[in-house]
This record gives sequence, structure tokens and C-alpha cells, in this order.
Amino acid sequence: MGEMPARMRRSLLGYMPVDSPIYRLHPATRLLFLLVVSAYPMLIRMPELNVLGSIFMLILYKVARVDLTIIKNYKMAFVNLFFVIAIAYTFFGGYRPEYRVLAELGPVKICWENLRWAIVVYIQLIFAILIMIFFLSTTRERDVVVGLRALKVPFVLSYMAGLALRSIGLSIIDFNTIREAEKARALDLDALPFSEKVKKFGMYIVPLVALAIRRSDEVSNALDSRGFSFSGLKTAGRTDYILSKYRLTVLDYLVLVLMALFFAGIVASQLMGWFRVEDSLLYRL
Amino acid sequence: MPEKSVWELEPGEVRKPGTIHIAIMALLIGVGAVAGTFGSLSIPLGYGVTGFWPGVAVQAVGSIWFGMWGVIAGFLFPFISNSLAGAPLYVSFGYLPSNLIQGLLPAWAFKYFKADPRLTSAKDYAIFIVFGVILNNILGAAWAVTALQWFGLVTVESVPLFFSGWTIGNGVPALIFGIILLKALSPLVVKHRSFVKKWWA
Repeated sequence: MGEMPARMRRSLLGYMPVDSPIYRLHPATRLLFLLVVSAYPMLIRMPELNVLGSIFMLILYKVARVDLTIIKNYKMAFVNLFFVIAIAYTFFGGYRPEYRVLAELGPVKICWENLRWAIVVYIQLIFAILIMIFFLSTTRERDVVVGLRALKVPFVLSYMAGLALRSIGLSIIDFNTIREAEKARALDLDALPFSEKVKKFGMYIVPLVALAIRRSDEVSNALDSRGFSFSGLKTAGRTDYILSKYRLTVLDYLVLVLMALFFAGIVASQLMGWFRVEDSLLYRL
Repeated sequence: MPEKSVWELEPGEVRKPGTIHIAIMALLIGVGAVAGTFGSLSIPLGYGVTGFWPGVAVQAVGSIWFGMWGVIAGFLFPFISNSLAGAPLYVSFGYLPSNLIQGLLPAWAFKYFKADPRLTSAKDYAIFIVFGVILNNILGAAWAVTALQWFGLVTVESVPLFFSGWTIGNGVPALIFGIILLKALSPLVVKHRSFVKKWWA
């Protein structure tokens, strides 16, 4: 008899095992992780450090038991990004007399300095994208709401964030319903050329917006009938039921302290001029 | 007697922001995120810039209909759509002012020039095309490439490539889908309680 599949939990980008170690952390810690760690590839350009950061993220994917096929879904995005950066920097990178010319394609000079910068930017972006995918893969709509509420974000903003994330799912359901209706009317989407598919998609906006407007009445009536206002419940201070289900643990505090030190380290490195891109191995070639 | 502008208050009419506006803003973020993600994945030019972004129609039209609620939705949903399409968080932050202006400018123009969102005259079309298709996207593109350059992600020489990619990639869908949305749904929206005559209600 085969092994029973692990219980899974829907995240913003896929499914995660319910007992993933990442869920030992409070949603607020995970939300802060996204913000703090995203500062790293934004401020640090040195490719060696960004490669290390990417390796760290991949280890985190493994530890958190994130389904790595999610990254495969972004394969085309990575490839496309590579070509865009390569073209932007090699063909539109500019030229200075001190640059080392690797090849000449008519009037275009492909220089090592431009190519080097393309590599630096690409590695930097790969790390930043891996952070984003990790966050989306491990976070649920509910986690965002809990995280925001734990960080004392006003009720109306937290509620709106939760409803907005939920409405993405609703819009996708509406979108599929519209497509099914088209198929039922014998429209063969697969036979359409890409340009027609793109045009067709744009046309879906009209029913999607119409459905959103209609749904806004239902949501608003539900909110009013439950006595909600901009500040929360119209009566006395409301109990954050969902927030009461989560507690910050020692592990959270430990991770938060590490993140604070890490962030201070990044800022200090910028102020002190450490880990400059000019110190990288690429610049010694 | 000339028809009354949709932006004018009825005698004794009191307008206040309510839960309907919160709901419409959140739902607009959902629709925009779906439309924007598809666009970002369809003809990507890198860093979330795309050759065809239908999300901009939701930004412009949503802001015309729902005032600041539409503007806020318009600058928040690209965060989600860009992230889902694989753009880093800080790049999405960099685009914030672009996405703000792309919704704010057409909303301001329609109110200022008292244009009708139902597009009943040539003036209405002209205002939408100038402020909701051309100017807003040019300003948005100008800021976006400035941000990309500031982050060191594009070179000065590649600015025209990204600038034209953003302007055309946003302008064409804004023109086509914006007009379709306004013509198809404005008659319904202006009578709906979510319609915003001032900025917040």
C-alpha cells in the first residue's frame, strides 16, 4: 500500500504540507521576512553574495518543503529575463573607449563591461525573485491578514488586503466560468493564434469588472449587516478572533532578532562601503 | 436644457465613503491582479514591463468611476500581479508612483473637465485619450524607467526601449479596453452606489 499523501494547505501560489516547519513561525514574522530579506538584493550588488543568498533561499525551500515545481513554472520568466537583460546591456549598454570589446556586430560593440553588468543584475534579480516566490508559496490569504493585524495595521486595511487577495481567487473562478461559456458556444481557444488569445483575454475584463461591481453590493451588504465600519465593529473594541489563534514563540523572537541584525548589517555595509560590486571576482577578470 | 453632469450633486445629496467603497476597491484589486498578471506574462519585456498590459484599463477606468478608491486599487494591484509574474518586491515599489499617476490623471481630468464616463461626446473621448491613454502612460513610463535606472537595472541607452515598451504596452490596451469598459459599463456604474462623484464618495 502506498504512503498516505501529506495533508496540504492552499497557499497563494500552490499547496504546502500542513506540517511544514515554516508554519512554526508566526505570519507576522514571515511577512517581515519578505520585507527585510528583499532589502538584501536591492542594496547588495556583489554577485558572490547574491549567489550565496540564492543558495540560502533554495535551502529554505527545501527545509520548508516547498514544492520545487513552482520554481519550474517561472522557468520562462527566468529565461526571458536573461534575454531581456542580455539584450538591454549588450546592444543598448553604451560604449566608452576604455571598454574591452569582445565582438562587433555591425555598429554594435559587445563589451565585457556591459556583459559583466548584465550578469550582476541578473544574479541580483534571481535572488529577489526567489524571495518573492518563497513568500507566495508559503503564505495564505489568512496569513497576510493575521500578519498585518499583528503588526497593528488598522482593521480596515487588513480586511481590505484579505478581501483583495480573496477576490483574486474569485476573479479567476469568474474568468474560468466565462471561458467555459465560450467553449460551450464552440469557441476553440487552442486554435486561435497568440495575438487573438491576447485580444480575447482583454475582452474578459468587461464581464470580470461587471461581476466585481455586482459582488461589491453583496460584500458591502454583508459588512453592513454584521455591523462593520471603517474602524472595525461599530460597537466596542472587537476581539481579533483570527489573531487569537496565533502566538509569537521563542523561535519567532529569535528569527526577528536575527533579521534585525541582518538588516542592520546590510545598512552598515552600505554606509561603510563594504561588499561593493567592484570588489567582486567578476571585476578582476 | 443641457443634461446635468454626472459629477454634480443632486440638491440635498450627501455622499460619504462607506463599506461599498472598501468592497469595490478590494474587488477591483482582484480583477486588476488577474488582468495584470496575464499581461505581465504575455509579452514580457523584463522587470514587469510588458508589451501588452490590460491592467492599465482597470487602473484608468476604475479611477474615473471610483475616485481615490480606484486610484488606490490601481496602484496596489500591480504589486500582486508583478509579484505573481516574477518581479522583485523593490521593483514593484519603484513602480508605485507610475501606477498612481496612471489612475489619478484620468480621474482628475474627467472631474475637472466634467467629461462624461459614458463617452457621450467627442470631448469625452478626447479627454479619455489624452489623459487616460497618452499623458498618464507617458508620465508613468517616464517614472518607471527613472526608477529602473535608479536601481541600476537598465542603462541610459536602453531607456528608449523600456520607455516605448511601457508606453505602447499600456497605451494600446488602455485605448481599446478602456473605451470598451467605459461604453459598456459606465451607464450602469454612474447609477450604482459605488460611483464616486467627488474624490472619496
